[in-house]
Amino acid sequence: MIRKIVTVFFIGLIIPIVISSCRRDEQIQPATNNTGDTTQVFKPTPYSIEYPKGYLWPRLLANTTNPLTNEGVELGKKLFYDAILSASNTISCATCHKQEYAFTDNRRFSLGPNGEVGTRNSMPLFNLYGSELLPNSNTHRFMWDGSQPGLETQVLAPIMNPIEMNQSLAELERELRAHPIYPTLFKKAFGIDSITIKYVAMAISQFERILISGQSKFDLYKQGLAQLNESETRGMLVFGSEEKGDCFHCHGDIHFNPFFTNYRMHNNGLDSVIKDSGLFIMTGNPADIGKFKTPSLRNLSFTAPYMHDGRFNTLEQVVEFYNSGVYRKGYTDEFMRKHPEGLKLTEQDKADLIAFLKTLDDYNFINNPKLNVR
Amino acid sequence: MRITNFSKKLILILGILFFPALLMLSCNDEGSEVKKETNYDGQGLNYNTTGNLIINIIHLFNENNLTRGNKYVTDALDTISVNSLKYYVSNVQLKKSNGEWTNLKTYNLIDIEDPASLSNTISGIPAENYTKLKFNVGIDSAMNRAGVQDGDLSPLNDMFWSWTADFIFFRIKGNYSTNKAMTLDIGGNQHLMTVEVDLTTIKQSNQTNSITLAMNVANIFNKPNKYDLKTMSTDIHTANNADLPKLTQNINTSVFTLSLNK
Repeated sequence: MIRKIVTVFFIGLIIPIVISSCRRDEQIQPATNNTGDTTQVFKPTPYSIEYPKGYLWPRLLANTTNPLTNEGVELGKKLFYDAILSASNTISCATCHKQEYAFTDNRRFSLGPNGEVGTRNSMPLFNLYGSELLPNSNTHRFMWDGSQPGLETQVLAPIMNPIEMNQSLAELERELRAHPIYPTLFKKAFGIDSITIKYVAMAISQFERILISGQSKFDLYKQGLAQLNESETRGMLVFGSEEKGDCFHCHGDIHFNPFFTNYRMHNNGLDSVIKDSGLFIMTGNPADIGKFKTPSLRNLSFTAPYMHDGRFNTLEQVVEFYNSGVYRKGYTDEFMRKHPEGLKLTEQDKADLIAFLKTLDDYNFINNPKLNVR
Repeated sequence: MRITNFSKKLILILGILFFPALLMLSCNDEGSEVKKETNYDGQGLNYNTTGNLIINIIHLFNENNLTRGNKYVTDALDTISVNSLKYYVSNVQLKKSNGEWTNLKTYNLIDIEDPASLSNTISGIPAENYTKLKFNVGIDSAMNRAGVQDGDLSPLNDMFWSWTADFIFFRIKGNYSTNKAMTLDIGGNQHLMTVEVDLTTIKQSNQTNSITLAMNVANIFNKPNKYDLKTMSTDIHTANNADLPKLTQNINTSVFTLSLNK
C-alpha cells in the first residue's frame, strides 16, 4: 500500500517535470516562418551589473522603458566606438571620450570634423547613472550646463551639433539600415525590423549606464584590502574638514557617497566677470548665472585639463584656485562664499589633498577590456 | 470637370445603394458592444457605443484660406508670409456630461505641407455625451522628458531642440516686412498651451463623429496681444524668450475655433 502511494507520488512528480522540460525545449527552438527561414527570436538577456564593493553603491533606477540587456549594452558599445554616427564618418563618441582618459580626452576643447573647437571641456563618462538618482524635480542631469534631462536625449546633442558630429538623423537612420550588421543587432537587442533613432539613443544609453568606476585604491581601503599612507590619510582629513578643504559639500560625504559629486549645479567662483553663464543660458534665471555641474573627483589623474572650460592643466592649479583664487562675491555659491579669506591651506595640506585625490584613480576602469571594442 | 461630376454622382448612387447595408452593419456592431444611456439632449458629440472622432484642421488668415507664400497683413500692420507651420496637437480630451474629462492620450504633428497630417482619427472613445473638447498645443512635460520617441514624436521631424532636449511645440516660419526672415519656435514645459473648444453648437451622434477646427494664423499676431514684428522677437529658438507668453496666450485663447461650415 505504502509502495503504491510512493509510486503514485513519484509518477505525479515526474510527469510535470517531463512536461515542463518539454516546454523549455520548445522555447529554445527558433521560430520559423512559413517560408522556412529562421527568423531572429527577440529574447534579450537581462544585463546583470556588478556593483563595486567598499561603498554601499546605490542601484540603477529600475528602467521599464529601456531595461539593460546584454544585447543592448553590446550594441550600444559598438555604436559608441563607431564613426558611422558622424556626418563625415570620422568621429565616434570615443573620439572625445577615450577609455584611457576615463572617457574624456586630454584636450582643453575637442575638435570637430573640420577642426572646429567648442567652448567646453569634454566630460569624463562614468557613474552617470548616479545623476539619474537626483529627485524628479531636478532635471539638470547631464552636460556641464545641466541642459540635458536624460541620457537618451543627451545622446542626440553631440550627434546633431554642427561643430561635433554634425549628423542628420535621417541620414544616420539610412546608413544604419543599409549596414550589413546593424539591422541584425538592433533586432536582437530591441526586436525591431527597422532601425530608428529612438533605439540608437536607447542602445548608447545602456552602454553609458554600465560605465561604473569604483575599484580605486580608496575603494580597496574601504574594504580593508589596502592601506593609505600618511600623506593620503592626512589628505582625506583635509577633504572632509569644514575648516580645511571643505570639499565634501559638493563632492560628497566620504563615508556614504561613492560618486564624489552631488551631481548638482554650482557656481564655484571661477571668474569675477562671467564669460560662460552656464545653466543661466537655459533657464534665464539670474540665480543660475555661472552654474555648472559638479564633476566627480574620481579618476582625476586621467581627466586633465580641469573645469568646464579646461582652464587648469594640473591638480596643483585646481587646489590653489580653491585655496586662494575663488571669486567669493556676486553669483558665487554660498559654500564658496563662507570662506571669505580663502581656505588658508598649508603647502603640506595641498600636497596631502592631492595625494588623497589620487587614491581615487581607478586603473581597472580605464583598462577594462569589456568597455572597449579592441 | 465632367469626370468630377460623374464621380460625385457615382459616390451618391453608391451611397444610396449601400447606406441600408451600413446601417445594418452598425446595428450589428452595436449589438456586440456594451450600450450606454448617454442622456443625449441633442448637443455636442454623442456616442452610444465606443466610437471614433475625426478631427480635421483647416488653416486660415482671417476669412481666407491660408496659402503658403502669400502676403497677409497683421493688425500691427506687419506684412507677413508663411512658409512653414508645424505644431503638436496632443492629449485631446472630451468633457463628459458629469463634468469629468476623458483624456485620449493622443500626439499628432500638424504640418501644413503634409495634407495627411491635417486629418487625424481618434478611436476608442468611450460611449458618452461630450460637450467640450480640450487639447494641448505642444507636448506635456511627462512625454517631453520621456526620452527619444518614434513617429510623430521622432526628432527627425525637426521639432526638437537637441541642446536642451525639448520638443518644439509650435513653429511658424516665414517672412515679414520686405523679405526679412521670421522663425517663431515655441517650446519649454512652461509654455505648454491648452485650447478649449465648446461643442454644444454641433449635434452629432454617430459611430464616427467628425469635427473641423479652424486655425486662424492672423490671431497668432492679433488677439488678444498685438505681436508687432517691428519691435518684438522675430527669431525665437529658446524657451526663455521674454516674448513667448504673448504668443502662447494668443494661441490659447483666439487661434483655434470650431468650424461649422465643413
